[in-house]
Amino acid sequence: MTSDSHTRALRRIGTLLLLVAYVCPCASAEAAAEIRTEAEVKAAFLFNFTKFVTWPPSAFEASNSPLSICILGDDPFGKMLDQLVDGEAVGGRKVVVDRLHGEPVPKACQVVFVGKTERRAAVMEKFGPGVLTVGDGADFLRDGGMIAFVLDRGHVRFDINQRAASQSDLSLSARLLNVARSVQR
Amino acid sequence: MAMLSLRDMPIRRQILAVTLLVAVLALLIAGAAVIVTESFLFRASMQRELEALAEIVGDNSTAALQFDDAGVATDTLNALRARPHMVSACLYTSDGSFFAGYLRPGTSECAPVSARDGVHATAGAITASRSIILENRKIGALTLRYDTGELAERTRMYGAIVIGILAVSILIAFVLASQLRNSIAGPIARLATAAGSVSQRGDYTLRVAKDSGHEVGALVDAFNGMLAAVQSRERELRDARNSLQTTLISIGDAVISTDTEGLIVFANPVACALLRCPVADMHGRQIDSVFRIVNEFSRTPVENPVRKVLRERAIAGLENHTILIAADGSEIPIDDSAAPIQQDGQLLGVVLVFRDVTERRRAQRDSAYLAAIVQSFDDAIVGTSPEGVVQTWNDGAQRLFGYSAGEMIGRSMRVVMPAGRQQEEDTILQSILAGKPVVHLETVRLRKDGSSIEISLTVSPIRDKSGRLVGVSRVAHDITEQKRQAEQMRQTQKLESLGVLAGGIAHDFNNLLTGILGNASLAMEDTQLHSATREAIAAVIEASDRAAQLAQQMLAYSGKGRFVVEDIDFSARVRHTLPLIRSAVPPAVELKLDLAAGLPPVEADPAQMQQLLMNLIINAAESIPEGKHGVVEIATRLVDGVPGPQILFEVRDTGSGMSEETKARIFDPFFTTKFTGRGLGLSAVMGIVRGHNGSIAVSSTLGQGTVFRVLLPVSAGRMPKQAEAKAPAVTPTNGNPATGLVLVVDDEPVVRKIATIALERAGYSVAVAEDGARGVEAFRREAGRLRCVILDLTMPVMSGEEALTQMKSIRAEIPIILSSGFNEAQAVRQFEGKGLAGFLQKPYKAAALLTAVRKVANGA
Repeated sequence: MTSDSHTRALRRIGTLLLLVAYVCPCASAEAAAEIRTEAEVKAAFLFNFTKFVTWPPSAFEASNSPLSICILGDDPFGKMLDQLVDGEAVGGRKVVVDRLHGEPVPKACQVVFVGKTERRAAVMEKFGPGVLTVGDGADFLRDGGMIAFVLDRGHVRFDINQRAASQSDLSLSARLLNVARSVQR
Repeated sequence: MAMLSLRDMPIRRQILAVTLLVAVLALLIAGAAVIVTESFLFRASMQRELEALAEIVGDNSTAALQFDDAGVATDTLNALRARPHMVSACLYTSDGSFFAGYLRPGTSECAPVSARDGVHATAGAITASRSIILENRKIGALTLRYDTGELAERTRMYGAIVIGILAVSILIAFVLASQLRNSIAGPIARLATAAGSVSQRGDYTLRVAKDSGHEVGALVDAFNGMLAAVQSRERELRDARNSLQTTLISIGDAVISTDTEGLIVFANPVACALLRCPVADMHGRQIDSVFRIVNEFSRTPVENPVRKVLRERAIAGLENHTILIAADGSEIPIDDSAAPIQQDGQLLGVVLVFRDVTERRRAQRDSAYLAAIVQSFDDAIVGTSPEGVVQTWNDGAQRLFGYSAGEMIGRSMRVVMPAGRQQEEDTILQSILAGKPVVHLETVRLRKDGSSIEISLTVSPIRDKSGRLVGVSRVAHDITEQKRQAEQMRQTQKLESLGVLAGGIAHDFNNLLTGILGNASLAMEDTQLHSATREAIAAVIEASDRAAQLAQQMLAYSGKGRFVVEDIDFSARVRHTLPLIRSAVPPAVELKLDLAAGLPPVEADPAQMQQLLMNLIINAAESIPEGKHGVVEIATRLVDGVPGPQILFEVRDTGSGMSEETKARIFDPFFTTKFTGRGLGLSAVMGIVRGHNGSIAVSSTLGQGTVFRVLLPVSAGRMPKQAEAKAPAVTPTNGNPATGLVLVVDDEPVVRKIATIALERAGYSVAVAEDGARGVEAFRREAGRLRCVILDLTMPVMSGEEALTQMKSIRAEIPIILSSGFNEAQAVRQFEGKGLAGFLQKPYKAAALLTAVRKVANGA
C-alpha cells in the first residue's frame, strides 16, 4: 500500500537524484543530499533501519502486533516520520510511530529513538531486549545505544554497535553494517 | 553433374576422396558442433554467472541504495574491476536515475536499465538488469554489462584446436584410405582389366589372383569360377554345335533352315540330294525359289510351309498330294513339316523337314489293297495275337458275329464262344503254338444278339519273315444256313419219299377200289338181287367210298389229290363250312370267329380247303380235354408277305398244347397223339398247303394251347373260275345208242375187267391193253372203229402221257379220256394242248365211266 505522501517523498528524492544524475553521470557519483534536511534523512534512515534488522518473536506482543518506532524525548522528526511510515509494512508488520513519555512498555516498542535531552544511558538500561536503540551523536554508542547518527562531511551517516544489538537479541543485516561508517562488534 | 563425375572417377581416387571427404566433414561437423555447443554453453554460463553476480551485487548494494550511500555503493561496484570482462556495473535509483557505478576504462557509459529483469545480449556484450527490491518495494536497479570477448576468445581457441585435430585426422585418413584403396581398388582394377580382356579376346583361360579374404576376394573367386564355367560351357557349346551339325548332316530326312525372311541359312546333304541342287547354290537364296511344290492333281502351286510358319508362328504340315519339283524338273511326292525356331518368344527363323514318300506311298497302296481284300471277303477273317487277343476284325466278321471291329479289338475270341465251348480257344491256341499249320473244325458260336450260328472255322498261324509266330488268323464261314438247308432237304426228302410211298399206295389202292367199287356197282344193277344181298352190296359200296376218301387223303398228303382250282374267298369258305364244323366239334367247345371281310381270293381247290379247315378245326377242338370248356378261335386276315400279299388263316385253341417233341412230329404221316386217329389229318393239311404254294406254322405252349397259322398266296387272277379241261365241241346227246369200240388202257386187271363189264353192259364193245405200248398198238389196229379211249396215266413200259401223244399222232380225232387217281387240274395242266377229251377220277363207279364215255363218244 503506497500512500500519497510516501510517493511524494520518494518522488522528491528521486527528482533530486535525477538532477544529480543529469548533471554528473560520471564514474564516481556524489549524491548531493543537501537539499533534504537532516531530519528528513534521519527519519528516512530510521525507517529504513527497520528493514535491515531482525527482531525475535519475543520482541512482539503478538504475531500481528505492529512494528513500533517509538520516539523518546525530543522528537526532531515531527510529522515526517509519521508520513514516512504511513501505510508501510516491514516484515509483514505494520509500522507505527509512537511517542513515549516514559519508559517504554515492554514489547511495545521495537525501535526507540532516544532524543538528546534525556539521560540516555540510564534510560536505555531499562529497556528490555528486542529494542533497537537509535540516537544522535557518536557518544550514543558509548551510552549503550546501538545505532548512532553522525554527520560525515555533510552527509548523514551512522555508526553501529553491533555488540549491543546482539545483546538485545537483535540481528543486524550485514548489508546495513556495510553501509555504516563504523561498526563496533 | 557433379554426382556423375563422382561415379565415373576411378575407384582409387574415389575411395580417397570419399574417405577424406567423410573425415573432413565429420570432423568439421563435430568441431562446429562442439564449438557452437561450447559457446552456447559458455554464453549460458556467463549469463548465469552474470545473473548471480547481479543478484549478489544488487543485494549488497541494497543498503547503500536505501541509505543513499553512493560511496559504499561505488566501492561495492568497483570491486568488480577484478573482472577484466566487466564493462560496466551501474546502480540506479527507483526513478531510474543513476546512483553509483563502475565503468571499465575505455567505457563511456553505463548500460541502461532494461524493462524487464534478466539478461539480454547486445552487440559484443551481455547485460544483466536487475531490480533491487527491499521489503517488496523496488528501490532501484542494477545493470551489469559483460564483455563477450571472452566468448570469442574461447571460440577461437576451440576453432584452433579443431583445425589442428582436423589436420591430423586428414593425414591419418589419407594414410588409411591409401591402404584401403590398395586393398580394394587394386583387385577391382585387376578384375576390370581381366574382364575387359576376356570379353575382347574371348580367352576364357584367364584367371585373376586373389590377395584378400574379404568380399573383393570372394568376388575374385566368383569371377574365376565364372570364367571356368564359361570356359567349360564354351566347350560344351562347341561340342553341341558340332554334334548338331553332324546330326543334321547325317539325318535321313531333308532339313533346311531359313532366317525370318525366308532366306536359306542351312541345308543338309539329303535336302540337296532331293532338290537336286548343290549346297553352294542354296545358301542365301529364297526358299520359294528352291523348294517348289505343287498339288499332285491340279498342278497348282501350294503355299510354301515356311511362309505359313513365318506368318502364323506355329508348326505347319503339308497338305496331302503335294509334289516337289526338283531343280532338274523331276517330281517327288513328299511329306514335310515346318516349325518356327523361337527363343524367348522371339522368332529367329524356320526349320523345314521333308522326305521322299514314294516308297511309303507304294507300300501304303499295297497294304491298303490287301486290307481291302480282307475287308471285302465275305467270310469272317479275324487276326489275333498268339494269346488270342483280337487285333483285326473284317466286315465279314462283323456280319457274321454282329460285333463291330471297335467292340472286338483288344478282346478275346472267347466272347463269341458259347459257354460250353470255351475250352476250344485253349485247344486251338495250343495246337497253333505246337506248330500245327492249320486247324479245321465245325463248331457253334454266339452272335452279339445271343443267337447261335454254326460255322466252319479254319485257324492258321501268322508268322513273320523269321518264322516266329506273331499272330493267329481265323477264317470262319457261316454254315448255319447250309446245315439248315441240308436238314430241310433231308426232311423234304423224307416227306417226299413218304409222299411217293403214300402216292404209290394210294394209286394201287385206288385201282383196287375201282375194282371193288366198280364190281359192287355193277352187282347193284342186277335187279334180281335179294334185299339182303342188295344191302350187303350197298354196304360194300359205302365202305369202298370211305376207303376212297382215305385214299384221297393220302393222295392229298402226297400232294397229288384231285385238284379243282378256283378263286376262293377264305372267309366265305369258312362260313360255308361252318355247319359242318359245328357238327364235328363237341358242344363244350366255344367257337369264335374273326373273319376279315373283303378278303382277296386265293387260288385253291374248294374241297381241299374244306378238308384243311375241317382238319385244323377238329384237331383244335380235340385238343381241349373232354368236358372242359375251351375256345377255338378261327381268324382270317390279309397280310403282307414275300413275294406278295397273303391270306392268313389262323386256328387258335385253349387246349392242352404240345411239347417240343410232339410239335416236331405233328405233320409226320401216321403220327398221332389220339387213340382214335390215323395220324393223317395234319399231314394232309401240310400236303394241301404245299400243293397250294402256301406255308404253315405252329406254335404251342404246353398246357395253354396251340395256334396253327396257314399262309396262302393271294390269287394272281390267272385261274379262271372253272377249270376248262373239257374237250371241245361236246354236244350232249341223249338218245344216241351206245355203240362203238372203246379202248381201255390200264395196267390193273381189275380196272380193265370192271370197265369192260360196264361198257359192254352199256352196249359198247371193248378192247383192252395192259400198258401204254400195247395201248398204242391196239389204237393203231382199231383206229378206224374206235369210239374213244380210256387211258390210265401211270403205266409201265409206256406212260399214259407218251401213249396219248402217240395215239394223237396216229389219229387225232379220236377222243381220249384220261383216268387217274391223281388230281384233275394237274392232269389237265400237264396235258394242255395235247387234246384230252376228258378226265375220269379213280376210283370210279360204272355210272361215272359211262357218263364220261357217252359225253365224248358222241362227238366221234
